[in-house]
Amino acid sequence: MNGKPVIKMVILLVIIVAIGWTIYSAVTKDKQPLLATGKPAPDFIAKDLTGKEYRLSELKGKGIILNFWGTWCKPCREEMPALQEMSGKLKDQGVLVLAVNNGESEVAVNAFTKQYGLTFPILLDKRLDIAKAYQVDQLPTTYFIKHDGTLALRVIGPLNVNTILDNAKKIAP
Amino acid sequence: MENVKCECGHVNSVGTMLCESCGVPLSEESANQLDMRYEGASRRSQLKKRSFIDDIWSFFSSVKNAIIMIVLALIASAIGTIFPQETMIAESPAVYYEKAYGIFGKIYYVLGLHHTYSSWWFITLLLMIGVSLVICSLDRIVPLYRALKNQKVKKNRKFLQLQRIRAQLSLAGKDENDAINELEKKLAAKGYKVRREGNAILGEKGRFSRWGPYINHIGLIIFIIGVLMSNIPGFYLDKYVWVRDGQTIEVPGTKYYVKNEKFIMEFYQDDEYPEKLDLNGEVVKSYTTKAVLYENKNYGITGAEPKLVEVKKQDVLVNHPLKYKELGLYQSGQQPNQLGALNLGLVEKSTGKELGHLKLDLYNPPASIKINDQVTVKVLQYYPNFAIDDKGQPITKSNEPINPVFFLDVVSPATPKGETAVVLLGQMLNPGNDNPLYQFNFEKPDLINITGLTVRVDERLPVIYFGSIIVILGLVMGFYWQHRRIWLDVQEGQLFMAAYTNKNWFGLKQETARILQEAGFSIESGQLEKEG
Repeated sequence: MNGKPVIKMVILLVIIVAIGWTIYSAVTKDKQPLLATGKPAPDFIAKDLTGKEYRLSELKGKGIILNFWGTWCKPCREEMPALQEMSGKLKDQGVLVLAVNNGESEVAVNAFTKQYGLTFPILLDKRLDIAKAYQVDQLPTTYFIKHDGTLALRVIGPLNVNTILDNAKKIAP
Repeated sequence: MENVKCECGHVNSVGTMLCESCGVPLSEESANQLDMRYEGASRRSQLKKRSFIDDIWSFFSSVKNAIIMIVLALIASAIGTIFPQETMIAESPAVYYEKAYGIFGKIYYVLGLHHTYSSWWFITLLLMIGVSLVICSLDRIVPLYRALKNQKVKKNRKFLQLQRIRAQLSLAGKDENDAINELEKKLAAKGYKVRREGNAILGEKGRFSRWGPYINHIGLIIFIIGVLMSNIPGFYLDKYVWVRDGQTIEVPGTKYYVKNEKFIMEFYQDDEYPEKLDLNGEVVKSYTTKAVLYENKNYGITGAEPKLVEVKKQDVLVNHPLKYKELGLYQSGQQPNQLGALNLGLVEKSTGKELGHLKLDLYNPPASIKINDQVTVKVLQYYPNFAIDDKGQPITKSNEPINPVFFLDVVSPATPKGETAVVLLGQMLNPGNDNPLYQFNFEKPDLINITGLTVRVDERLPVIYFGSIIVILGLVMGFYWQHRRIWLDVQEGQLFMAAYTNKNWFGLKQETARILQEAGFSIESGQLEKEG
């Protein structure tokens, strides 16, 4: 194809745009844009073990530590004491600890809660809707949500007292 | 732009090998035989200053570069198979590769090879191959088309004498015009399209087969576009869902729910075999899921109760999927006769009297069961997949009821604080209590079937099929027919003949010799080809 650089340029431009779009969409395909830091955390409704209903949007103004866990997951069991300890301390600073159970029976969750002496709200997610909305594929996963309702950060793996404290500072009102 | 003026007077652009008008070779290199590729047209512009655009264009129009890219893609694809990709493993990749494969696993993970096929560089490589497909084709077809369309009937003698098939024959007294007319007729009789200019003839047939390779490349590009369409949301889905008998569950990745009313496995009976076989109903005849598909009108509202509307009901068998709009549910797997619920009888040991029964649903156990006015059984703890951890504590390994264990309390007037029993499969224990008042008897458990359905959405298929058909079309065009041209020129009592084809030279020689013979010239096909 000789001469006429304009035609060549147009063809190349079209191809480059098409490629750019394809690469972008292929690489970002599995990640929904919803869960970027700074974006609003997906709203949800869930009941705790006592039957009390919690709605995330109604908790604005407080920092939320949203922990996803299951009784079968060893690191989840190991981090529970830390969460229990911090839940009391952080309440005064306007930070709430909520633990979302990953689809287990009430019996199992109830027994576990009693066994570990947990006093913070344990939310049930039987259909795994909330876990899906938060793209949770490994347990434990914890989202730190700022008091204005936006996502501050996500931690995959067990927490300890220090990490909870440090991150709570970022989300406290 | 520098041009080269041919001796015939025609002006050719730089890089042209053969004059576009008369065919005479413009460079010194083609001494013995002409390079007829693309009719000698110039394919790459050779300006004094090559712009950046030209450099990019040349890179992608090179077949060598295309082959290098393809080989790189092959090597990368092979490397992706060394260890399982991250979509195939259950654990977290950060932990798994080093744990399972040691130092090599760690290197693999650090280099990002655990998601080879979705990594940006792999996709870029594939796309560059796609670009190369387009540019290679464009770069060649445009000059080729122009050259073939504008080719002249009368070619320079040097062009004719340097062709691979050529001959110079004496007319031997034949009348020039008669000879030419005769040749025209014989060419036409063999299906050639004949053009004449003065004493020169060009017979051509099968030009369309030259476009074959370009057609099949277009087909490949359409095919690749079809495959890439899986990136468009909603166009492609490949998931799996297990559904228990009676369960309604979300179809992953969609706004639908599916209910398994019943899963049935049918076996061949003895009288269904053509010969007598002693298989006793062990060979499966069919797997059927009686399925109901629902649409969730509350889709998109997290945590909201699903509002289900039935949209289709069908028996799903292997190769007979449930299809609704773009969704297909395929019968894929089965776990028949799994534990669904434990059935226990509660017995007062001292009297041997059976107080009642209780059912423990392994997927949704009740918190407490009232046996009668005085006796209640409380479910203290439930481990679906019981194990003891390294600290000697009871835990569950997963959420599947593979090895269910219950901690039960019998609350009665005789045991107001509850008597604890541990119920395993077929066994019960009373820890710390040598004389329990109550005993649980095991009755036949409820067995359920779990069916496995493959969830598929594939809107890309029409495009992929279309692309494939175009590829076949191009291949047939290119391989089944050949482009043949025969030039004839009568000058000073001599017949100058030359012939060219893109494939099947042997056939062309045969045909050319036959035409010349039928027109009254004596020549054998073996004499036509240039030696050496």
